[in-house]
Amino acid sequence: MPHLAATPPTSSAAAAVPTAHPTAAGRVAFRRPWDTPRLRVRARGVRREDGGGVRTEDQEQERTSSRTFYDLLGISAEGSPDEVRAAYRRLALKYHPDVSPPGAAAENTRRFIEVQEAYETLSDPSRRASYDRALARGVCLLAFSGRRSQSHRAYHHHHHHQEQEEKFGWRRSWEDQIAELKRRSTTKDSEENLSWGARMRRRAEASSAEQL
Amino acid sequence: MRPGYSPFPLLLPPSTSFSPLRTPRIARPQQLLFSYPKKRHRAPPGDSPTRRRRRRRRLAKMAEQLYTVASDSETTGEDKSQPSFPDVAIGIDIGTSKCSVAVWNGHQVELLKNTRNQKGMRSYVMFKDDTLSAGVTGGAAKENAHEERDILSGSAIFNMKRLIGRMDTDEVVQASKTLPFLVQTLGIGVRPFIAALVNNMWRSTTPEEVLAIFLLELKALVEMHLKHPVRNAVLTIPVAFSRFQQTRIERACAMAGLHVLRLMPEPTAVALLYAQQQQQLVNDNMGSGIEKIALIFNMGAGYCDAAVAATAGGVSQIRALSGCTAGGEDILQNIMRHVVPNFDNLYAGQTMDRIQSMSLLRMATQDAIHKLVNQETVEINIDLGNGHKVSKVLDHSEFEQVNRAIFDKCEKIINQCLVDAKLVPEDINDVILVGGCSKIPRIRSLVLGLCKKEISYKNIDALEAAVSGAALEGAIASGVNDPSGSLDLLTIQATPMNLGIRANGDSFAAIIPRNTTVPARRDMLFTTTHDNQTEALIAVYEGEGERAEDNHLLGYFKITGIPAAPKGTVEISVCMDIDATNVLRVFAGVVKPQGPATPPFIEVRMPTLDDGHGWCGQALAKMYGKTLDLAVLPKKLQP
Repeated sequence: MPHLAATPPTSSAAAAVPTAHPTAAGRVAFRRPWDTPRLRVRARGVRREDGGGVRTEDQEQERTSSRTFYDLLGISAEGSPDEVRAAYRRLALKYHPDVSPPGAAAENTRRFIEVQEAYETLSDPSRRASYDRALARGVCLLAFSGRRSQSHRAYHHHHHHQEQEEKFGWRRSWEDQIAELKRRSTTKDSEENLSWGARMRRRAEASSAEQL
Repeated sequence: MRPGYSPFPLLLPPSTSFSPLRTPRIARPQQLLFSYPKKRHRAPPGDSPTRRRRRRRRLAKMAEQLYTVASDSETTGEDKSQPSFPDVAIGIDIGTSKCSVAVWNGHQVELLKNTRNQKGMRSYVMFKDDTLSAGVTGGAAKENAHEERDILSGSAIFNMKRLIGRMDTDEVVQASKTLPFLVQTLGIGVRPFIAALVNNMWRSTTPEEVLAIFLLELKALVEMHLKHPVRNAVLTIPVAFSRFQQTRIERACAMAGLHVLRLMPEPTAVALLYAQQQQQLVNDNMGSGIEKIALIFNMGAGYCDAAVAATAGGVSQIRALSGCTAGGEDILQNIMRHVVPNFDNLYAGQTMDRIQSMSLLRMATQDAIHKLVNQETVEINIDLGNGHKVSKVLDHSEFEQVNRAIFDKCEKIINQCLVDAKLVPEDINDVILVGGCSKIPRIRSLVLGLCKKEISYKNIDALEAAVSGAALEGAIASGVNDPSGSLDLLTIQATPMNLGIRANGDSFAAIIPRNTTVPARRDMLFTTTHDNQTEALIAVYEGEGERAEDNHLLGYFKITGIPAAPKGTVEISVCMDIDATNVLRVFAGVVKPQGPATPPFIEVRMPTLDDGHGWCGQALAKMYGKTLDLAVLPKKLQP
């Protein structure tokens, strides 16, 4: 198959992906400009009385400290299945990308996947029981999933995941920076506080939005 | 002849040369014909091509003016943004047999009717002389009674939803060879050749093109109704649609100048409507607000789907989805074969008399199936021509026996849905039956029996539910905010099929299993199968089969530059990511050993394959055999 051999894999990958930037935030903005009005409206709507898309300080802490699935869902370790479901729905309305404000879509998608994982573990009696046993042994907190998922940095405590972790570390920190920049650009109106690059990005976004 | 007035404005090659941006301009004469349904059918006697062309040009001009008035300011209705119009996405349900369209009118979902006052319009495109007309306006005939006969004359293409994005080895395509138009197969995993009979000649087309022509007429209908251009649409699709088929639907929409905001599996659109109704009950203080579980069973002419949705507080969580390609068309074909046992011999090869005879049989059988819904027995009496007469009395037990395999398929997907949702029949609060075939008594009793229910949910119209749900989603996704809160809804979708790669020989390793909530991101580790293997092929598949070949190939790429090492020692990570917009990306690369000598990761958006995807898989296997194989790395034990 000469075409495969002749084509360097990197170029075929780049051709398949319309955006050169592998950041999730960039992707969302690139692909679905038409989604923006909805998100904006939703952000203003009833759903967002919890502070809109702006991440609060305790949410920032959530991300850095080791916590349990119970903390993630905001319920006690004795929470009933109904409470698990109600908490899941509440958090889905907060973090599902369909109801996220544009700047927070990438970050919220990641959080939604975490919430989903917590819900799937705690809503299944047998998985919840083994998770509780693991918690009691103090093994791993958020890490317990029975499956590898490199999207969740806090999940990796096993040494053989660490290399993989490093591999994706650069991307994640980059994504975080982008998400943070986006967050700032949506919360602060004045352009003075932004870097030159951020200003350029904003202008490019604005002009591409006009063209649509 | 100017290109815009070619007899088949949309008959362009299905290949890559087609640019969606160009489409509206090329297509406009079709759209304009819509305004003049009466003048389009037959040219007056003695009409020269020149005169005909001139007349058409004049018509086009008149219609253009009319159109300008209707849209208030836009003269072209293309390529520009329309900031003055609230661009609310419309909801479209393209059925195998019938199609409908709905919009959010500011207060509620409204189904649109065509000029013949139909909400459900027959899905077909008629190829006649130099005009094309779709079932939206009833292009085949002015009177409903003649429509069906004209559709079956060989000049109309229908059932495009069954044919779209399928290769010629597909059993659905094989079964479509009994349709009155031409479906030609080579059986090697390439596109089937389809053609309509125009002036005693088969003229080729593609399912995408037929669908695009249909959607164009549908779009014109909506624009006439709303008096402004529409661009965005939410379409419902069967659960059994592969990602490749989804791209074909998107392509057909692009050809018709529609942008696909979302493709919703049909039962999830129904679930959204149900969630809205439940939320309304809570708002009216009539509902309890606790979580309700609904099983939705949808069976139309071409597909059969089931879904389990958990609903509370306006959140509809899809717990499980399953679907198959069993539908009314299969029932019809079974009965036709039952009534005429030598059916396949009799109708092998499409000659004019055979097409005519088969259309008579088809109409009589269809009529009998419809009558059998309300009757104990039905009599089929037809003269098929050439002295061949059929006279048969059909009752329910015989009908059920003939279609047993189809009912078994229905049973299978419902059971699979319940197992995947980890529910027992007692957990279900409501059973919602939708789609044309849900009227068949055996289907009703089967679904209700499996769910241990006496009656089905009442407040949902079996034929309008999917399109209404799509229009709701269209309004929600377009950012419409309803003060009464009736659009404060969220659907948490799930993937209907396993997504994974070929590994361990010809096995299929599912990385994102079916019914995983989306957005999702999962990964899996693989290793080499040969010593010093420096390249590996990642072949991405979607489906339920255990062997890779039994699934749909979505795409493939190579990982190169793997550091030389004994087999089984290298770790290759393959990560699959479905984002908020249901786009699938595959990331792959070497994670062990690490160092400057390892190649960068590869990110590929799927599907990458365009045509002939079945053929492609075999070619890959033939070319490379096992040299580029991977094996699943056994999971290490948790500490």
